[in-house]
Amino acid sequence: MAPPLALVAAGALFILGFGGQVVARGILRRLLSFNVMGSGVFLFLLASAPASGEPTVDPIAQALVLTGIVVAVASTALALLLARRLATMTDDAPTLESLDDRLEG
Amino acid sequence: MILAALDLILAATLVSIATQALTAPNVREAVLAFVVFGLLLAIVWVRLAAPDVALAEAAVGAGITGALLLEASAQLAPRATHDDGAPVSKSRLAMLLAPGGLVVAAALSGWVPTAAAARLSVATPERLATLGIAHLVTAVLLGVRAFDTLLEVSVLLTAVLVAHGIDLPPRVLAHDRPFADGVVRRMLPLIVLVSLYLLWAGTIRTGGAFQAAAVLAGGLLLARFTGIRVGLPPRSRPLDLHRRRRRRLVMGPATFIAVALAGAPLAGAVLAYPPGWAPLMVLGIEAALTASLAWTLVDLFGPGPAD
Repeated sequence: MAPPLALVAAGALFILGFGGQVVARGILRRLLSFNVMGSGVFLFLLASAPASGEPTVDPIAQALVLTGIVVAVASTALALLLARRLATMTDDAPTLESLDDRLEG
Repeated sequence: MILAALDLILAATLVSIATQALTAPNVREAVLAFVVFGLLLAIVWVRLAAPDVALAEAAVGAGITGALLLEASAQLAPRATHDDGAPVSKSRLAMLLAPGGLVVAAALSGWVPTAAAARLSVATPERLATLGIAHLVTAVLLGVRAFDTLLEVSVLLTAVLVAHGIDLPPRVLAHDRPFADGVVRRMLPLIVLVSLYLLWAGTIRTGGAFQAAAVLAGGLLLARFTGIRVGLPPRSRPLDLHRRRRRRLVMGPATFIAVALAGAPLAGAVLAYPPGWAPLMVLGIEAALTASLAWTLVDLFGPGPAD
């Protein structure tokens, strides 16, 4: 894939994710946007690493993105566990969406 | 020419699926769109000549993350109707995209010509070659940048230990016995085989500990969701797959740290390998890491049925 095309896709994903995270309501949608934003960053990183001549792209860039993917899944998992715990703690707000509604009056 | 057209279609579909994941009215649809997004992204990684990242994206990014989000959506957004978690409105997204797109395009216009000169691993080809590991990404992960990998494993361990401390009710087992008894029981040995292959292949070609751990975690999760008991012939009791235990989480990082510290007397520096021994020691570290990381990913899904 040509680097400019990948870079434009990376930028689009980053903006979508960032914007989605800002305006989304509910923890699930925010986490979805956060992951899309992270994928945009990874795409930007690997699209910037040249693959000229070699069969695979820069191995250090691959290692960085690999680490990033694994850490992102760990933070997503922890965020979801905390959200589920919060949801069980508030009896009259069984879902986080209704908790959001209550907080926003 | 055809490849360029296919790449364009791939990139456009990727961005549109991401939009769908953000703006789907139903939360479960959004999560499924996200899983498809992850798989498409895996194909994009292949097109960018990054096969290890493609494997990790498919297994961890799409598979594990998608499963996490789906399971949480069962509790956090149980009524699959329009009024749970209002989707991001498309008009709002469009308003954000216009100025954001201009900024990004301006930033990128100067980047593309200089990207060809940018290379992260400037002086390391010689160091990578002296390690003797055939697969460069593994050589980077556990040789040149082994400290980063050690920290990453520590981050995962911290996350799962925090997860153990979060008090959630025990898991409810799936009721679909034909699926459990028939399909899952037959898939588990194959899943273990694929995971072992990915682990072994990581030293000479695409593969590695993280991908193997994610596949193994998928198998362990299937066992934990369906209550299947796995027993090995010499043992009288089945293996305990349904309760969170701490020892098997620590084995991988502990092995990594032990080998790292052993590098000081044996090879002159921490995290260094004696000449010629690198492939074997790396395989040992990766084996221990695969086992521990698989249990780590499983425990990040919350308590098991027996907790």
